[in-house]
Amino acid sequence: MTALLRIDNLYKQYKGSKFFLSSGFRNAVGPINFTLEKGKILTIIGENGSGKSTLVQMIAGVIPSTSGDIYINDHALATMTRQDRCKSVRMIFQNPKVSLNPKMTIGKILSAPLELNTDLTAAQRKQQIIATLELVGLLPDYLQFYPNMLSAVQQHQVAIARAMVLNPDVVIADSILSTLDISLGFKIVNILLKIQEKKGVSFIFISHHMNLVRHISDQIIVMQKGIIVENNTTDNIFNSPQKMITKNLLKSQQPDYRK
Amino acid sequence: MLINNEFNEQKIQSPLHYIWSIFLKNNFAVFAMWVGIGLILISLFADVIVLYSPFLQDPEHLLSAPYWIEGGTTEHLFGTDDLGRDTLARLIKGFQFTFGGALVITCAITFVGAIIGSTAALTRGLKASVLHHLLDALLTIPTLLIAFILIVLFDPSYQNALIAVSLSLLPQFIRGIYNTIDSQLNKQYVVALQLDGATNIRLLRFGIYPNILEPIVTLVNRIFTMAILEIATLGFLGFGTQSPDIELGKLIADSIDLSYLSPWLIILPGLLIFIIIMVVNIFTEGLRHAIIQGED
Amino acid sequence: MLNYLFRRLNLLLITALILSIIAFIISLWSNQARTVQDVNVFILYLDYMGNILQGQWGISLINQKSHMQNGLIAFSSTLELCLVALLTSVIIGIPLGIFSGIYRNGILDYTIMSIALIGLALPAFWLAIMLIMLPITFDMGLPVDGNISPIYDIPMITGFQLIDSLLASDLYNLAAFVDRLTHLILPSVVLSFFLTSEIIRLTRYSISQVMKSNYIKAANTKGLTVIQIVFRHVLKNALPPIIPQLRLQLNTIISIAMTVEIVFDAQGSGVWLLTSIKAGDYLALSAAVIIISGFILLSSIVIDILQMFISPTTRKMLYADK
Repeated sequence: MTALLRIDNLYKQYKGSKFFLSSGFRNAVGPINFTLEKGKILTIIGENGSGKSTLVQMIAGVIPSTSGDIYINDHALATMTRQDRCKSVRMIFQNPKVSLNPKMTIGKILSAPLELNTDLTAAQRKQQIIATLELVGLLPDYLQFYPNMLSAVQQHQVAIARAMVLNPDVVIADSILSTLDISLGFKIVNILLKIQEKKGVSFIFISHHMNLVRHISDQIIVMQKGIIVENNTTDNIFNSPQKMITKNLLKSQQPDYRK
Repeated sequence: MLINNEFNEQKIQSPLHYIWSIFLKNNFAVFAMWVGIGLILISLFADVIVLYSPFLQDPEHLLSAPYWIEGGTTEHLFGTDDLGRDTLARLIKGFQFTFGGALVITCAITFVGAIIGSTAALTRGLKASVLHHLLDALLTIPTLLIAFILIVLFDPSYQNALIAVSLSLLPQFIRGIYNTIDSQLNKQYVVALQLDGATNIRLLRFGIYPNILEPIVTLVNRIFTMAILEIATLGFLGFGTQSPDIELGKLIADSIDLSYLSPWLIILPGLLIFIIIMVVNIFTEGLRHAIIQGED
Repeated sequence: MLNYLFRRLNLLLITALILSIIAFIISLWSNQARTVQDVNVFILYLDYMGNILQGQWGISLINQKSHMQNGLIAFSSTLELCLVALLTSVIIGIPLGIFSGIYRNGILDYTIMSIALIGLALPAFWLAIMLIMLPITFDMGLPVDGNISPIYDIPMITGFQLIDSLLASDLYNLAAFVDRLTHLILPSVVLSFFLTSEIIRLTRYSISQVMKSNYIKAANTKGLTVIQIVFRHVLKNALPPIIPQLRLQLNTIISIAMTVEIVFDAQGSGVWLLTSIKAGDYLALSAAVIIISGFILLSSIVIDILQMFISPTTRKMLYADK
């Protein structure tokens, strides 16, 4: 079985603050190589500033990569049309308070990706949006609401719905739980797991909750200073961590509140 | 349905409606708005309103004072000038030119500036950089000097004064719009909309402009204030409206020799300019407050 | 750091180039009749720039002096007016702005902001005429025209007449200095109206932004009094951002100063340009572009660089750029 997502020698470099004659290229991230199979959940862990967010933002297309390729079903993202790209990779932003436009209704926020990337009629779009809202556990009434009228969890649900409305292959969730407390966080995670079960999408998570990571992910990538230091299945990482950084990260695990 | 419908109507109010409802609670600003609307109506129908023609000379009342001063008549409420022309009529006519001109200029600058500023903010590379340097250069020339240059290149006339004022204020507006849009571009909701594949126009229409109302109101207010002041200044210096047309600044310049005989001829036009600017500023200040409160 | 200086220098050069082209176009236009059609514009420009750099800016039709000399003398007088007005405005405006920003939306704030609004709404030339007409001006015997009484013949040393008259104190004791100062009072009062309201607005905004921040809340929880908070935390963070904002207003300030000078018939750039234009001497305009815009450009770059040295946040921005 070929991999759904394949990252090949991906680099991100910044022109750093340089002095007059030095070349001043600073490696932010890279080289990155990994693969992700369909329907699996990958979690990226690492310290702050280790390049996790930069990596997923490059995959989602928020920031361009300097060199290297990203393949989805063996098609390079760079050669795909914008619409196909949107339909295959979607991103859930960290904090829905700032990623949902306060001046647009939920209905408009959700219909924008459909309008721009599909040929559906208005009625079909509405149907699709309502189906997606049901998928994430929201009532269709919320369509006319503005984001600031919703609770934090509901805002998260809307953000997830925005990512899911195009039925993508890969969904990226950049530390979405960091703004919620743990019980609400589990609610969101359960919604995501339910979606994964129903739709068979692959997820890429960034998270600091080690218990959660262990609970949900199939594969774990450990990053440090812009490169991947460990890439293995969840069991292998948790049972026999190879690198010091992995051990330290795992040590930070919090007590399990579910017990 | 979980949500009660009656409740719904009250609850789901578009942000603009919400801002407007906050604005309406501010009596001061609402009053200013009505005065402002009144001013616009006056400037539109100035020719109908005036009791006398502003050029009609009344040899029986030369240099008469306003009626509340000793020696004034109720025939000419605000008095007359040295040729016996009715001050009120001249004020209204002059007001029409100054206020109307500033209004037209502000609309034009807002429209053109918004287009150029948005384009500049959304493009990168050589074009944007050329525009930036050009703006930087234009912003270092004082507005009065720009106006002087343009007035000398073309001849002094009301239309050319308007063009000169708008060209001297345009760079400021473009720079302001550019900065506000630029600060919006790294907001996550804009990035999210970009990821959805939104075109630039859609991005501006739904993502950016609804969220920068407050800076835009401030900028437009500023442009309007400066436009009034500059039109009047150019008129005063003799580079604006030419006789027999009148304009508030020119009205002051024409009467300057009479300053000790009839100071009202100078005081009244200046007060009118002052009132216009106050009214517009109070109105926009109320609007700004409402927008800021509405966004919290 | 060095990189930043280079970028500023680059900006300076390009902007100066654009300004020189504008000045060139004006001069080209003003003696269009004399230009030969088949000469390349580019060569004409180089010619013009060569003359400018050698200080040959053309001869004024008014007093047969060089445009450069006339312009520099006039502009230094304008600048003197601006500086005096700036000084008074800062002394009045900053404290008012601080009060206003700290007690935001209180009665004091509304009062101060109303005053600031009035300062903005009064047209400068009208205010100047009003001041001349006021009986109190007459009673106090304040001079309302010119830079300095013609009886004083002060040798030109720095161009700033306040300083020159002080330097010439062996001729007239301090009489010339006092005379110059009284001549400056009314114009700078008019200019200060606008400038003070600008400074109040900027200070208020800056202070209220700082007052919202978490470190001020933290300082509150420490039990510091308002005065302690203001002096220890607020001022240090709120005042530096005002300077670049004020820099953007520099061209408006100079415009108003020129208008005020015209009303008071003070021999500054306003009167210089007005008489030159009326005499049909349009080369003065291109000289004015070079002098005034050059001054604004240079001063803004100096302010930028100074800002970089005093304010840690701008320094941080330099390192973070991509």
